[in-house]
Amino acid sequence: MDSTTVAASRPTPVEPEGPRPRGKRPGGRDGARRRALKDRMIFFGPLLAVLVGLLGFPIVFALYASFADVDDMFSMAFAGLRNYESLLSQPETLVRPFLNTMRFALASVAISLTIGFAAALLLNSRLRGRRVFRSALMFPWVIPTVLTALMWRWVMDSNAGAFNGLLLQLGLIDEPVSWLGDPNLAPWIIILAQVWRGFPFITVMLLAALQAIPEELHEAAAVDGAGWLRRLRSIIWPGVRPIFILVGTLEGLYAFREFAMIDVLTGGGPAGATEVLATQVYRLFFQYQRFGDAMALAALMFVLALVATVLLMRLSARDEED
Amino acid sequence: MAKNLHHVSRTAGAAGRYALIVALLLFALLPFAWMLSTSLKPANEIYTTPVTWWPSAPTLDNFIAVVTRADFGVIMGNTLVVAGVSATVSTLVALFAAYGLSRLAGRRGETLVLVLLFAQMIPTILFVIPYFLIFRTLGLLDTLTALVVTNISLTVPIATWLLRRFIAKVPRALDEAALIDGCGRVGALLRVVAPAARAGVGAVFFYAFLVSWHEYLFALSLTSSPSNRVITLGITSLVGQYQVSWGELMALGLLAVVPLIVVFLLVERNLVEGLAGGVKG
Repeated sequence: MDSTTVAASRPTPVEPEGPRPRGKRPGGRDGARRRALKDRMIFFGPLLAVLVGLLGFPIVFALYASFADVDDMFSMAFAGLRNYESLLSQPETLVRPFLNTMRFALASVAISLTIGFAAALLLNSRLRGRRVFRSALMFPWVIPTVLTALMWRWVMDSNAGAFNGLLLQLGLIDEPVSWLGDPNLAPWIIILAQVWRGFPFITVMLLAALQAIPEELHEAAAVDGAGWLRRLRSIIWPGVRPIFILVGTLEGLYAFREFAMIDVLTGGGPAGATEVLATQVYRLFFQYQRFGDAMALAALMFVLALVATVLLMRLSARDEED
Repeated sequence: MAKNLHHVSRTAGAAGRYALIVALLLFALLPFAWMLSTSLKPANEIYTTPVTWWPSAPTLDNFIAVVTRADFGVIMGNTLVVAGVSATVSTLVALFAAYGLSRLAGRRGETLVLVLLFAQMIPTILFVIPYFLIFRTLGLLDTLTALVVTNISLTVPIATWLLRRFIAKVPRALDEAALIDGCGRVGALLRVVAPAARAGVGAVFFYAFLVSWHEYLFALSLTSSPSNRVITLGITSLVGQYQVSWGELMALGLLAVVPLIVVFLLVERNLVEGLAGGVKG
């Protein structure tokens, strides 16, 4: 059957005579369906355009480019694994930034979660002025990362920085310490700055989770004479666990991809001690013009983030089944 | 006696809690105090040792120097335009999508929500290179348009994710009444649902505005000329290779932050509710 017969045999909308099947008015179900489709296009169209055009397309482009010839004037001819082979043959561009990234992400998340949870527990107790405290604790979250980075660079300045000044006045050190010039200390300074910026968000999220725990549970526990630790384990922790995992995941992946904090605070130095994957990709591409290596490393970062996200989402999904 | 002991331990507990809160507040706020102190110092006092905690003769010189810089207006204007346009577009796209997710989507909506969440987690640097090449081909490198487009890509997923909770809270009876009155779905959203959820819409707009105001990586890699500079690049442009004018830098930083903190305090409650609600849902 070819298409013309289909078209001819289909009832046309303009059909003045003849019995109609029950419940079918002109523009009835078909019209409703068409309207529903139109609605969907209006409401989801812009979002899908952004997701496909502004996010999906660049990702596909980037992933393809990691398998293509980009070094030779961006010919974009398929080149198989050549970029990856080139990248993996220079482990020094890869291994140290990877380890630095993992240390930065894991340490900053672990510390932020600890401080953030403690702050949330404090703010959840009966405390005068706790709304003001919460607002004030949120301030670090509102300021731009580049400014956070520069502020900490100035606080940690070895000559005239506030931190050395404070430690000297308290007599805790005799000589100024070069916090950002020492390859063993600098990684912890960027972690400190990241924690400062990151813990307020965790506090707010966990505080909301704490406040969602029904008051009766606490009262029942008090009647049973349960101590604070026992309540923490049996009531508080189960209540906040899903959000704990979710904000941990979010903060971890934000730290994993962080660029501004490191670029502005240390520039990856001293001597590569704070170089992370994001700054390394940027450097390979824009400074060394090693386009193929940069594309391959960016694609590897994407795969790592993807795997981490899937694993952590599994963890939180299993949590919901419990 | 036993009661008294209990009372004492509770008072001690409260004192301990306050001590911890104060420690946290010092950690969060002392860097701001140092910033303010530095911004009020005359140039010759910034590098003196031992460090002075408060300027001996506070001066507004740094603020005046920053504000009268030739490019101050350009930078602020660019940032306002880029953040304003991207936040407006993002909020509109998110408003329509959030309405769709709440009222029209079935199970497939859940998949879409997961996609939105995942879009949050993609390393931004992955986008920088393709965008650089695409904008170069289109002749859009070094334009504010490029920044608006990339900021929209950054903010639409999170804005939709946050807004859907606020829209879901608006009673369906409201938009159904509007539909019966002959508004289309779009009319129902714009005339009834969006105004009913305006607090959430405002908070989401602020969040999108904040993300665009903070954005650094795209600005750094996609723009170069001083006439297209936004605030993050304006701040880092004060960092020279060998010398940093810390006084001016801290003054500019405060000028860039104070409006954000004021608006934040205005929308805080809704924003916090939206963030927390978005996580729970």
